[in-house]
Amino acid sequence: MVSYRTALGRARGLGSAKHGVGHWISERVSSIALVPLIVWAVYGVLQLAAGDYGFAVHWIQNPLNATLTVLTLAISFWHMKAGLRVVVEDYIHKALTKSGLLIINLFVCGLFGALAIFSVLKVALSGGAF
Amino acid sequence: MARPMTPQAPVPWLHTEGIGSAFVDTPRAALKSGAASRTMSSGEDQMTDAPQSPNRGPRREPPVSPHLLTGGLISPPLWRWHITMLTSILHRMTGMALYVGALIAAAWAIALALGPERYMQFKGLLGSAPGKVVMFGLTLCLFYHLANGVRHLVWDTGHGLDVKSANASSVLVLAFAAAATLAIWGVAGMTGAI
Repeated sequence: MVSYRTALGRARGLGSAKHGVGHWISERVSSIALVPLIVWAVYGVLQLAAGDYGFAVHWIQNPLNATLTVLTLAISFWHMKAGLRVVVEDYIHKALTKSGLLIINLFVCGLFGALAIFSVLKVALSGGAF
Repeated sequence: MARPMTPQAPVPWLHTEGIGSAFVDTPRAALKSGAASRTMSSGEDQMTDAPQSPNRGPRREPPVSPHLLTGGLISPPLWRWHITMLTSILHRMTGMALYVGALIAAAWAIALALGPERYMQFKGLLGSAPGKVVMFGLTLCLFYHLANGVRHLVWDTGHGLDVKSANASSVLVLAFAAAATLAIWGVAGMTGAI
């Protein structure tokens, strides 16, 4: 059977989704942001590990600590979502398995990122009272 | 392989007598713009008495590099382990380990919001012996991924991509990860964090 589709019509939609550059840049920008944030977070964890609950509440009530913690969590979970997405896309080639894993990855990062950030804000704004 | 081989054009990287007796480095000639396939097809055109049409016969599979794990279990591996291979795969593995690390960080925030009992329970879990082993491993993964991530960012600017620099930065990144982890755990020991 002769196809009447033009060569251009057949080729359309088979190429890149034109989102690659955006992904590439967001991976780099999140990496750059995480370099200082992670160094700060290690310093924060050292302080928190030595303290009790009262100290942790006091620590997170400091506006700088609260802001940087929220930023570290948000950018980390964003960066993780992008990173594991690349791993899944590289190794899983079955369409259904791949889509399933990508959705689980997105939902896990979204859910736990949101829970963590909400929890930080709750304690920072309420002073640990509940 | 069913493909006719010609004496003038052997596959340049697969010296079968070499497998098992010596390592094979990255087949540069083969990797560079399909040089191997060009050598082979031109050799076949000259040596076989098939008509000169390039489209005759069954479709030939393009040549592929041997798999990373060729050799391996029964004989010495075909590929020599390079430190750059190690640092590359470690970046992925530490990244996946840090996924768990981030979930632990989220659990910390949630425990804090749940109140003092839950928070001290969470701290007790991390402070237990298995908890400390996990946290030590995650510290190592964190500093490795951080340093190697910076190495990737430097590469993105076009610097340090030659073999000598890449080998040197591999060693540097591994050394930094080990040194920073020991230093932080040393500080943690002195400040009463562990």
